[in-house]
Amino acid sequence: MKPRIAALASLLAFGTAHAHHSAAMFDSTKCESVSGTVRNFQWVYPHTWVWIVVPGANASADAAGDIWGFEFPPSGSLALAPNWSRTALEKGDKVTIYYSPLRDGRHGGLGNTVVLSGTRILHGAPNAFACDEKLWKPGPSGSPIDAISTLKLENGRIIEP
Amino acid sequence: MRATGKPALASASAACSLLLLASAAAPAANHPATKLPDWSGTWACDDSCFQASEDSFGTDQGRVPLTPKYLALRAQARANRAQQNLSFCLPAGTPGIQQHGVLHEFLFTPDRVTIIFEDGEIRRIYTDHRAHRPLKEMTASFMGDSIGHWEGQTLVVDTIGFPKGSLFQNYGLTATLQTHLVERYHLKDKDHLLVDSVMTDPAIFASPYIYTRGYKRVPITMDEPQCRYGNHDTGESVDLTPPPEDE
Repeated sequence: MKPRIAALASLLAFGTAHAHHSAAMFDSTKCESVSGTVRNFQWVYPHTWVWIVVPGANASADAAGDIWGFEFPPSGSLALAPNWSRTALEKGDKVTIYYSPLRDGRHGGLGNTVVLSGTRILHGAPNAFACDEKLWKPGPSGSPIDAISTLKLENGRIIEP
Repeated sequence: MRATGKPALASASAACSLLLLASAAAPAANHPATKLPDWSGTWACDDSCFQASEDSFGTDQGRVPLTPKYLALRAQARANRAQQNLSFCLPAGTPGIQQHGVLHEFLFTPDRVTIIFEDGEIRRIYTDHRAHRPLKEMTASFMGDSIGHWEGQTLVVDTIGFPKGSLFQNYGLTATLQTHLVERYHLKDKDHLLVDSVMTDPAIFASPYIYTRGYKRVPITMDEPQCRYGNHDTGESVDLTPPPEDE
């Protein structure tokens, strides 16, 4: 196995390590993104949740937009990850979230990465295989904790790898 | 003491009591309160816990040397999409919760170390030289019966009396009355704690399961446990009802 592939396999092997339930409802082979405004940030055990309002996604259901929910690892797991904290995200923050979608098509999924105001990247790993593969490469330890983002941010714009 | 009319015996007994008293009053050599290591604060498990994830169904990435019988049990549990205890807000127990990624706190009190976990579980480790309770006297528990002693700055913990159904967060791996865990807790450096463990059980393990987990001290105040079954996820579905806007 080539080192790069081995390292990636190692990273991917972490999967949904700290989920406290099955991740079967999420399609971890897909990585999608959506942008919106933070409505709630729940920094809790057993899962941190980010709720965002996506303007115009379903205007007939909610004039202000549609509310999407994303499950992230528990606060205790994110505690070691850079940039995460109880106040990392606040109501009104502009975010883009990369996630593995719910298989049933509802608006939400298993969150992997949050780009905050186009200036800061938060890695909610280990979560969502496809997003880890698409957006991250292993850091020195090979673990999600010091993984390196392959997203580039330029003048608030997100450039995907 | 009841008078026996035998002064010599009473005297000897009193001396013995005094000796015991003195022994108890003096800082016991293996757990002097002033010389215990500093494990204050909050601890988060590092990459070693990611590797032991439930995603590998308690296999620790293939490092758990299960017997054929238990390999089959785990395969069956996997086929049945068995959920772990935590999916139902039940305790993960020993040692599952310690590799689950929840925060830990260590409390030292005389003759006891207590570990408090972020999900509300509590593990009591007695360091007063007591013996294990007889298995038949134990109530089924998630944490087991833990007796510890200090070897210098290392806490050595011996645990038996595992409950049915919490081994490695369950997944069909049921502990037996022979399941035995020995852990050695020691600081690697100021902010890194290592726990070297050996788990044995002739029915479950073909050879001793030897593993180490690492923890890092983090500047976080632990919150109250929030686990509520049905709080956003229920088994294999997920509740997308958003919380109140101001929560």
